[in-house]
Amino acid sequence: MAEGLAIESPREHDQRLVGAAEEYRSLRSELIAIERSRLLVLGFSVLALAALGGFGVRTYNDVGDAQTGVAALALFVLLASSLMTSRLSERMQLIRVYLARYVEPALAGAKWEQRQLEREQMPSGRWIPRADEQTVAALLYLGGVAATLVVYFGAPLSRPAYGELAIPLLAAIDVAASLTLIDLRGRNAGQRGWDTFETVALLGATAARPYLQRLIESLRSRDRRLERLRSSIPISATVSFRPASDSLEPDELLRWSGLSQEELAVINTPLAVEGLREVVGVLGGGLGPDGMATWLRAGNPPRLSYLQRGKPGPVIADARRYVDFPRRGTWD
Amino acid sequence: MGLIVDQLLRIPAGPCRITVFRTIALTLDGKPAEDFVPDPSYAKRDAGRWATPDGTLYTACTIGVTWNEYCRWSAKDLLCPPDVSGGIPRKMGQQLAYRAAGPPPPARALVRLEFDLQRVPDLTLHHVAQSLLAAQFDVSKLRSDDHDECRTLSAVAALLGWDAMVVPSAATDQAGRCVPVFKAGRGRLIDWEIAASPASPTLLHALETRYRQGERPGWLKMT
Repeated sequence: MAEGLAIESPREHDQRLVGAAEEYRSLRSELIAIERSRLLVLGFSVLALAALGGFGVRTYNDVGDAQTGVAALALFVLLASSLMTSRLSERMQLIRVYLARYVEPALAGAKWEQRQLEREQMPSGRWIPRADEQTVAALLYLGGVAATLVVYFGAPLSRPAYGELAIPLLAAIDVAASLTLIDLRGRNAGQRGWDTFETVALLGATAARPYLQRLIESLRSRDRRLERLRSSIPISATVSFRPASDSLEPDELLRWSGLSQEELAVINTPLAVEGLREVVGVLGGGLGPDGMATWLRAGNPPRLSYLQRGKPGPVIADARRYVDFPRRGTWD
Repeated sequence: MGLIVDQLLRIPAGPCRITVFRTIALTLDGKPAEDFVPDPSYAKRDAGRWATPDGTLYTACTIGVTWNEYCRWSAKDLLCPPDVSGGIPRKMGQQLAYRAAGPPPPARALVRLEFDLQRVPDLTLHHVAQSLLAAQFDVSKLRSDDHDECRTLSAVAALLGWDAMVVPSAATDQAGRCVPVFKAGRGRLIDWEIAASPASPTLLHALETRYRQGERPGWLKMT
């Protein structure tokens, strides 16, 4: 094994660190550039909305199609800017996850993106489950598009209601939807993109096929239901049976096996009875009487049949498999 | 199979404070087995995928993966519930996340362990996989049913002085991660607590587990 042993030289180590640091700096610069672009889009949108708002106020007394047109243009600006920002956010998140997964681990002390992503993953008392967020946001976004179309084509039908109530309400829905979708699209694209890449790279295309199939299936409705369930799954299922008391009498121990009197009567050799006691002692706490009986009756041939034939060895060995840390100096 | 050790030495193995989970057996009174604290002398020797002569402590990065691993290990125990035949009906969807898969398998105590480790490589990373390939380790074996190559790798890893490794879980297709802790790392346990006891996997855990070839119970599917 010692043959061919080569520890990384200090020079190689330094070169690797320098490479990682350069990549880190370059990607952080790109992140800042994207952030500037996002601010530019935001600034332009605010400017356009302010101009349109001013025009709307100026034509307030000229109730007519001009106001409707202004409202529709404002919503178009919102939708367009949200789409652009969404694309930029997606790109940002891909870079952030790349930095956290691949670059920062190579640089001692650089943990900014890792900590940021961990913080985003922490539960925060959401009123919409995480798995449902994207669906809700997409629905709201479609609502925003519908609002724009309704304002544009439907305003002449009932202008006063649109002017006073409907347009501000629909615009608020549009803004909320856009912001949520921007956040989610970016976050999911970053995580899922690299998860898929890593799995394929790590396992090879053939071995990763089940994962990719699962990914595709997750887009179908049935698996989206599972995804929702997954987000609310408790740390443990409720265990229905009550544990035994601290010290059970030998007869109680046999009753804890859950077997019927007829089944117990057939276990009649001292070796088998002692074996049953040991098995119940090892597994009874996790199975309860009903589960214990089910476990004993399972198998092909059934485990119980070994006990009834006076050969408890295989059943005891099977029960011991469930215990990870045998007492010192006993079983291993 | 021979591994090229100098390629393995190139794999970055840095310090890592990590929280992991595992399940442990219960005694008859429903309490965790008294000797469960992962003392090196209690870990099973030469057992499992990442076997080492001094014993390997098997842990998972999340509770979900912990239950997936348990379901995979106890696949033969998973018996069809009386109200299910030929598959889990869709109308049971909401119950999946709460209903216990068993017993059997036996309920366990779910334990959270915190380690302050010094040398931990992450074998799930792409560039590390490249190093493994260069070391002539077939990375597709990390999740295969055949454990031979993994055992060779873990034996070398323990000799290299790695405290533990972050590896992909074979029990889930959802990029789950496990952490086999070697003898050098087990002494670096700094905190632990029982997160739930008695605890059991849910039907959803069992449904989403990736089983060994031919071991998935036939009824364990959505209809």
